[in-house]
Amino acid sequence: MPFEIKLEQFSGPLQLLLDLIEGEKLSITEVSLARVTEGFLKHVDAQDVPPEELADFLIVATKLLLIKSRAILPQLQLEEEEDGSRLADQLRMYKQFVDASRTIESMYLSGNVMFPRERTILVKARGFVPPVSVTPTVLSEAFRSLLKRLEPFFALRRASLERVVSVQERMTELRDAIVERSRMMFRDMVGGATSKVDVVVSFLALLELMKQRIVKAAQGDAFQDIVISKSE
Amino acid sequence: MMTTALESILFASAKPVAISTLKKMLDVSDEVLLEAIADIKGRFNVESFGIHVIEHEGKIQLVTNPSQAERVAALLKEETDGELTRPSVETLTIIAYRGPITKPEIEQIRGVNCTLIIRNLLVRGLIEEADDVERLQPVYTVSPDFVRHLGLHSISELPDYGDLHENEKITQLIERLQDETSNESSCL
Repeated sequence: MPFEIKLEQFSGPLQLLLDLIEGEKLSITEVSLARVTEGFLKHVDAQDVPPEELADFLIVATKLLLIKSRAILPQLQLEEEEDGSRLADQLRMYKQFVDASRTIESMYLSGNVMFPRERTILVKARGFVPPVSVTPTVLSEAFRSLLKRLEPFFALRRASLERVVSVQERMTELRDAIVERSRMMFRDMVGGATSKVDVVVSFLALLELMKQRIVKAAQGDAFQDIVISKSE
Repeated sequence: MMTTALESILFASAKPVAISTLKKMLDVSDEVLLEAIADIKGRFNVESFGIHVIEHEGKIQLVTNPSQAERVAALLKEETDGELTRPSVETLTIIAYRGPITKPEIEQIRGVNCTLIIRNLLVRGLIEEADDVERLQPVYTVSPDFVRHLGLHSISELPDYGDLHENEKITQLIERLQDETSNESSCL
């Protein structure tokens, strides 16, 4: 829940950009965008940007850097001349809606509410009367299409579930093996691997156990086998 | 008289009534119906009259005069909704002025992902989702409840509505930005 609230307070890169530009009392032009680039980048570095929004911030950051670099090296022409003016346009458009939103907010808070009439109390029909057009076929089709729409979601869940279970399993296997032998080679661990995914899972398990300081790993040279030993 | 029938029907129905439904019920031409509606609006939507008419997304509803909000709220013992955060207000504004609008278009204007905010607004009943056959993805409009909460007779009463709603430059910019995004993703 607290995570959601945080997201709600962050209005995104355009808000930050707008704040920076208005903070310096500039109007929205390419020149002013170049001016605030450093401030923007510093903010992104310092602030705790939610990971989902990071991509959006980086997109704006790269556009700013492009504008700034063109300001510094005007002789360097790149094909997409449009980018700079597009960001300025986008920001101007965003500002229009931000201004409009202030009006809407004050209207919303002013309390000039209009109430509709209260719903009339429906006379409950006796017994269950389904709509005429709802046949069993209609129902099964509706359910089928719903399942189809959810299919990618289920597929994703299934796939990630499988993998997680395997890493845990592999970790347990490795830990048990190490307790017994106190030293083994990575090749021993993945000897019976049936696929690349299997090897990756084993490697992830090894990394996790290393992180937990249960095992140590050493590798003589690149691509040589890895020696896994019990941590003391 | 057409207006008499209309007034009675609207009073009897607590929910908004679609203009198309009214047309079928009263069996009249579009002009006659729209004229009657305009007539009712002209008479009702004045400061002194206690009942007002609102129109949203092709539906009409009778509501209380906004100036009487406090008294009516006390009568209905209704509490006004909670506050809106800044991202919510911005998103609502965009949907209000540019609705029906798709999620990607909203995100182009705000420059940031809106999934959670849209879901919150849907849950709170401030916006509505509908399927758009042409655009093959859901479109969003503000809900009648939201329009009523603003004290407006129609969403077009928003300041500068015509300008922001129809604005060609905005439409073009959104389209160009969308092309840009799809080009970027195809380059990846």
